[in-house]
Amino acid sequence: MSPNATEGRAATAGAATPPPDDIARDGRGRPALARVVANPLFAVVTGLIALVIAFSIVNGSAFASVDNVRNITLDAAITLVLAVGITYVIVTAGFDLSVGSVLVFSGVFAMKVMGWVGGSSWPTALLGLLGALAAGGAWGALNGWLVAYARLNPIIVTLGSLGAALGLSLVVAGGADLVDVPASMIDLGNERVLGVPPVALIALVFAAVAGVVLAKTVFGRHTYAIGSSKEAAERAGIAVERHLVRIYLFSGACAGLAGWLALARFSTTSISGHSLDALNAATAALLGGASLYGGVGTIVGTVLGAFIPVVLANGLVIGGVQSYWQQVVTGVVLVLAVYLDSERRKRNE
Amino acid sequence: MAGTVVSYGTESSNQVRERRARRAGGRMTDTPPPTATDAGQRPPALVARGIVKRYGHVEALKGADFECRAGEVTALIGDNGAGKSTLVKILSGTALPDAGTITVNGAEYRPDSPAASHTAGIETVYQDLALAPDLGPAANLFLGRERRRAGLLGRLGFMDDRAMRDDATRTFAELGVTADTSRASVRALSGGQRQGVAVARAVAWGRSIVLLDEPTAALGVVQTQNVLRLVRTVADSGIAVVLISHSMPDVLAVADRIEVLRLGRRVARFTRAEASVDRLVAAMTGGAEAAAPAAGLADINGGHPA
Amino acid sequence: MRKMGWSVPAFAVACAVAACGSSDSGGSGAKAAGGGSSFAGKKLSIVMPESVPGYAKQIGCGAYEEGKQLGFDVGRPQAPSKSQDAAEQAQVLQSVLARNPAGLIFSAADPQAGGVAIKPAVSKGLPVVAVDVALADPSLAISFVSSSHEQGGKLGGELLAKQIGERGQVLAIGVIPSNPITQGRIKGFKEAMAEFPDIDVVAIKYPDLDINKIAAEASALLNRYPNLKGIYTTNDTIASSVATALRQSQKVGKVKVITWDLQPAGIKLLQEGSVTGTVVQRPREEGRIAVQQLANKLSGKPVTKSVTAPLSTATNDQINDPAIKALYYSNPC
Repeated sequence: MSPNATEGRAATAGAATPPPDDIARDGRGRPALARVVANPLFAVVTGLIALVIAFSIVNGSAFASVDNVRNITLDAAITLVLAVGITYVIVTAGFDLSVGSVLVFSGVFAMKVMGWVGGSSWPTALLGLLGALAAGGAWGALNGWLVAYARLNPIIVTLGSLGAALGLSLVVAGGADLVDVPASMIDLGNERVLGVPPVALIALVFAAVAGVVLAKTVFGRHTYAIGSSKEAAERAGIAVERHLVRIYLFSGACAGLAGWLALARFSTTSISGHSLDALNAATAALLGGASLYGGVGTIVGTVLGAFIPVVLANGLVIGGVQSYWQQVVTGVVLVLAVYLDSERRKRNE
Repeated sequence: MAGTVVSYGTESSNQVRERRARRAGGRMTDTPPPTATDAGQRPPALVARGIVKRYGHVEALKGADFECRAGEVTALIGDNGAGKSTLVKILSGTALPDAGTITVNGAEYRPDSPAASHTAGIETVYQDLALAPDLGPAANLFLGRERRRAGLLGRLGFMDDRAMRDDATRTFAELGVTADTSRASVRALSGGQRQGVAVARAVAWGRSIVLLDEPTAALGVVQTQNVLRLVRTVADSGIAVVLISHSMPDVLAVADRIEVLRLGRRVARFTRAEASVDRLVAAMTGGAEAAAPAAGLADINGGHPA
Repeated sequence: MRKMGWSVPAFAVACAVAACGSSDSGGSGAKAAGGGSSFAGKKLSIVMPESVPGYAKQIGCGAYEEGKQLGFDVGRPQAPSKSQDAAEQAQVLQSVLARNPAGLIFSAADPQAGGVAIKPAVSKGLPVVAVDVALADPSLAISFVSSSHEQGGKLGGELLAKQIGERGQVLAIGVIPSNPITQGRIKGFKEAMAEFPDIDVVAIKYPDLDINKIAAEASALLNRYPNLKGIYTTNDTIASSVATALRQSQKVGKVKVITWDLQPAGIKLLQEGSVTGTVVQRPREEGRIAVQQLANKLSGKPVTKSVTAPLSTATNDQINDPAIKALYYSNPC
């Protein structure tokens, strides 16, 4: 029963006529414009451009100035770092509510480390950074272990660590914000390198590296695979549990980095000021095209998505709009973005 | 379904063998598959004896046996609940047996993970295809076995997307799979194309044994013929192909041997010549004719009339 | 999306009007002759949210000092872990009241819920002094001790006006506009500003209690109002964020900032100069007054229904003066 060459050709010939029903819905025949619109980044890019244009027109140079761009970038920086970590988690169809609290804890821990080491120059600050990363990574690893091996729901797990990390922060900090941030870090937070604030630079570079890793490495590929179909990943031989622990660890470490950057920027651990961080970070990721169902999302999208609420808030304030409306608008934008994205997904299937 | 978007069998068994040899370059290989010799004298590629598997109080396999030979298509049939899927899970490394032994090409085989089965040269196409819907065809083909870039970048984990895509394009072309490797996700492919990707994956990586679990269940007539043709081609290239199927016509069309499971045990074995629909059904359902030893059961070591 | 803040000056939902319930089981025996010695062995309990770090502690210190003089055994302030959580506070109250104190000093997380929580004890005769947060049902408390947030807002506004030379643009930033404390502090500020015809209040903003967002809002406002001279804030979390925005825009010192309270974070800002003035409350004094009122009640003397603790301001020049240092909230008892 070996195949006959002519038989094979006949079969192929049959394939030449486009089949009416079992059609590959791959849009190969669609025009280029349709494919651009179908790209997940399309919505967030056009949204951001539209906002920038609109606010530049309405607010003029108050909005469209170098100073304001600097402000906006700085405003988005810390949320961006958190959003990078949470993007990885969301791509695996998980969630991390704890990033704000872990940020706070990492900051508190870093302050304790730096206080213990003493001094206010670069080495001290770096030790603080290591401390923050370690603390954040530890919380992340705990989250990851509970999600991957104990098989608990990520929302429940990270809700628990949200509370626990915040509570522990208060315990370690003694109930009040720690404010003796080393001078070298304050400089980092306030000076400019070629006109660019270091905090923003660090955040953007970090996002770029994380983006490359997600898009181009085996680690990134496996992340998408696990989110797309955990079973397919398992059957393909991927060590899913181990990978998930690493993902949450990474998210925690991002929160650690963000905590350290927040110390540099605000000169205080601001324990009470980060309760909305996880939601802001998730908003950025979702606006950027990540799907809560997993398997979809990019860091580029997240970066753009992080800027949208910030640009929105900035433009509305400069335009003199009342505070309450900002929240309404941001909420509407998020729902709209997620809705449009789900429509796009449906059309592509 | 009208028309075919999958057409297999456009290559000869030699081509399949060559392609496999190319892919094997640089990877760890087990004993190479035996080349096609006298069908009857080939040693079994996989022998499973006395496999027991319990799920709680339910014994899905009660000491099942199974055997397949390189260069042959061995069909595994049985009614619902006979234990076929469980046996497939065990052979593919997704589940661990509670008792029993398995050998592959003479060596002990105790897979504790899908990766272990791959290492032993066994590939499985599951009923649900086990593709990651959001990844593209090339990414799925190489899932878990991604090609890395050369040098430092590769050690850091950077993938060679271009090489994988090219390789996938070639593989699909050789196998007649019309999945477009420039597609961003297999979700956008048709059912037949997705099937093609899954089968191509198993065929491309499989060195000793390829397990196909109900590969034609969701396909139309023409596509089914193509799959069966491919099954034949792959077997002819020296691989042991195990085909799990509900469809008697398919089985009779392509199988060299047929093993029947019933209630967790092997109850009959047929060669193609000995098999008929009535006999197979009787064996599956426990009819009187099934147990006829002279005609149905073959000796493990001896040959039997082809 | 709003979550109740915690350690922020009185960010609780509306000042609780709940009079602290205090079981008066000790009272029946204790209502003997007045005078210090008759209070021996009487326990006074304090329940309040730890909204401003050190604030409750200071009230406790003041109460302890006064109580010691009079012979009371004053317990340490008990606060729920989530300071603005009325439900948690009710649980804390339960355990406190189970020990049958002779009197209760109470700052409710919620004016309504707090009253409900102490009502049973009050009806059994426990005297309760409400501190800082007025209960929805004033009859539950024998006395209400507070600083007037309105008064403080006025003082803060006047200080700001002075610092900017009584002319120019100013704005105010508060959070949780439904919070009566915020409302009081803003109202007082507006009243003060109304007295200066050359001062223009360009905006009153209520961003989310999110340090990032407040900083973003502040920097955008600095952008919109390039000639801004002063910013009034209702607590020092906001002031912290505003200071960050000033540093970012390099306007520290050019824009004057008013905050509230004297705890470590705020003190640092004042020492640095990024914040230029603060409204100082006297929690220790409140504690003392509260105990005095309870003593009066227990010894049959007349009780003053409503007492206001004094308020003052401090500028960043004064922040290290001994007189001001004595008022730091972090001072030990």
